[in-house]
Amino acid sequence: MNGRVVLEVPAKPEYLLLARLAVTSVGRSAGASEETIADLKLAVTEAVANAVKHAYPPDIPGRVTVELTASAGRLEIAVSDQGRGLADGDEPTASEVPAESGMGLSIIRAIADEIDVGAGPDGRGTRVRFACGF
Amino acid sequence: MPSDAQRALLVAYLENGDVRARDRLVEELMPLVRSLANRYAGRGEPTEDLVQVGAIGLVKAIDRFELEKGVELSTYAVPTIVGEIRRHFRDRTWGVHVPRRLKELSMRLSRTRDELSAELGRSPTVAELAEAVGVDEEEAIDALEASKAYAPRSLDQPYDDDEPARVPGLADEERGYAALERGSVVRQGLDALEERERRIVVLRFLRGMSQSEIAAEVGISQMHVSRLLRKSLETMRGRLEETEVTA
Amino acid sequence: MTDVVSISVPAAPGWTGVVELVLAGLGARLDLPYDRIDELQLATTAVLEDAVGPDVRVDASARADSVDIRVGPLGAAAADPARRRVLDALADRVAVEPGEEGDTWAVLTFARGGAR
Repeated sequence: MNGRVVLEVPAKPEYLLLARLAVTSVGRSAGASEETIADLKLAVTEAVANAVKHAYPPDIPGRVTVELTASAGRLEIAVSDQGRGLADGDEPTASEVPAESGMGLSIIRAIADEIDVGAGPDGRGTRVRFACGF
Repeated sequence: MPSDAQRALLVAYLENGDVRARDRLVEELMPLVRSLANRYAGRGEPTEDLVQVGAIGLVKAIDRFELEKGVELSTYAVPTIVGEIRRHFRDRTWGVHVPRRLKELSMRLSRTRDELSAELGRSPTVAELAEAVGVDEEEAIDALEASKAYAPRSLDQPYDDDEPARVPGLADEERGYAALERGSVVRQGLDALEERERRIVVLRFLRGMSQSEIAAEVGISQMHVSRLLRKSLETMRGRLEETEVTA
Repeated sequence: MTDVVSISVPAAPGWTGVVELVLAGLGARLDLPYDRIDELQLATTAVLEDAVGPDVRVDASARADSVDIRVGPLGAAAADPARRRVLDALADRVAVEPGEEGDTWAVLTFARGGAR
């Protein structure tokens, strides 16, 4: 079934569950294998966790948006926030344990068929978009 | 680029087969393995297992590393470590075909739900259900939702199929039902239902009993009450719409 | 502070499943007894049937004592008494109100009570 679902939640760790559930549901409707769904849940976990940890200062309540787009044989997910945006050095660096958000992106890169990272829809914040074909 | 010290170790291992050099490299990068394994903690697999599995991924990455490519070893190793951890989950979690696992879990949850209701005096929360059955909340929710599809009778295991004997209080329900005006829309909706469904709807909406109370009184599982209620509401809605059209 | 969870889906049958699953997740976070979650889902999917499309949005706000579920945009059918009867039975309060663009929105309120 083709279509787009947009989920918006507070940028708090307890709401990660809802993003994962959305992926499960849309993934199954789209006919993805359980393996692909598990991979996508993992990727969405990394992306949402990044936003929860880094996007907003501790006292500012922010939101995270997860868009899921299903089309024939493909599921695309975009996780965006309206926060501070990716700083330099968020990409993996020459250290034994890369910066948390950098590691998250490495993991998504390892899982998804495509990934792109940039500013959010109106130039603010961050948007991590990735897709899996199945 | 790998640091000079790391380079030396890599050369010693990759070009000269020095296994101790490889072991030193593994030791150096174990914090990375732990950091990755910890991300998948609490999903039903012991973290130490994940660390072991991740370490295998690290060794594989070191074996395959190419110095000339100019990438950082830690960066290079992340996908392989993660890949091993994912594979571990896959092998452990999907040994059994997923739909069957979900169905088995949903049956256990159904039983547990009724047991906990009796103990607590109310329907349990997802957290209480998940803890009682020993799965994480996400899996519990998935299985609870799966059981909502109208399963054909054959999938209702004996636990669900127990037809209760006539339950006292039926007279009250009949009275409640009869008290609705004959021509009323609600009565027409109820008329469309089979007897057992009607009873559930009357208990729920005219007597205001909760699903868990109804399950206890009628002697069927809460899951069954929920299914009957869903099905009834759909049927009633259909009948109410028909009525509107002809009115 | 009130936490709001929003989900927007195509206004077509077959997409209610994701709304139900997300509501179950929210219900779990709010420690609602499961039968309450079930009825919250039932009432919401009933309202979703009146969506006019192309998309429909569900906004769930959790307050200390209650959960408000706001659904729209809906067609005029949402205000119909026969429709309302089923919803009134499931939710503690049902309100149908106009939205900003001349459309209709339904707000279902569920008392929290129960576990916490």
